[in-house]
Amino acid sequence: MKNRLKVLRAEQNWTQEELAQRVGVSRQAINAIETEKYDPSLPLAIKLGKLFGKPVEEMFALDENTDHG
Amino acid sequence: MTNKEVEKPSKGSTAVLVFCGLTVGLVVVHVLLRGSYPPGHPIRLLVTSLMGLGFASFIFLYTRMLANMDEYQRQIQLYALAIAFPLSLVTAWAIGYFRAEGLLAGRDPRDLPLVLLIPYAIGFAAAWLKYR
Repeated sequence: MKNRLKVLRAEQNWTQEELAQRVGVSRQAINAIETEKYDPSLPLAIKLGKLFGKPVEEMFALDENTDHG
Repeated sequence: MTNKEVEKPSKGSTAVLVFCGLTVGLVVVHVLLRGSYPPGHPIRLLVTSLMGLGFASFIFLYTRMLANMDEYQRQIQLYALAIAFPLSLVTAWAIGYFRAEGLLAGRDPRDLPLVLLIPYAIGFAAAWLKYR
């Protein structure tokens, strides 16, 4: 799944550690989401959306090349 | 999802590794004692009891570590266990059959848990490669 987390975080001048603390996860989790190695759970995606004031679907998008069957 | 502070993975995992190391050390001590003391000897009973305590503590610390992890850290651990569990079954099955055929017959089946640390290590390495 593609996401805009890195861009949105950069706009706020937050480090991965700061963002991680704000949503209650580890820095490694934020890094894995930004590098698209890990897709966050729905609660975490909603929490990120609320934090950045964006709808979830604006932050995350399905990668058309990935099989989501 | 809760707002509780996420425990650093190294914090919980250090305690797990320490207890795992201590328990493995006790198993090694038990192996060494087998040649020197008969079954039921107080020293062997003491080491056996400590091993049981070590295994129980390991399970308690491991589940506590899992509970304190965030969803990403937990995903890595569960992926590792998903690989380790069937691998452990196959390993135990293979060792049992090879023993019946005369291979590995000199090895004591009580030491099997030590061998089963290998499938977990393989599972963790696979998870780390997938999610790093």
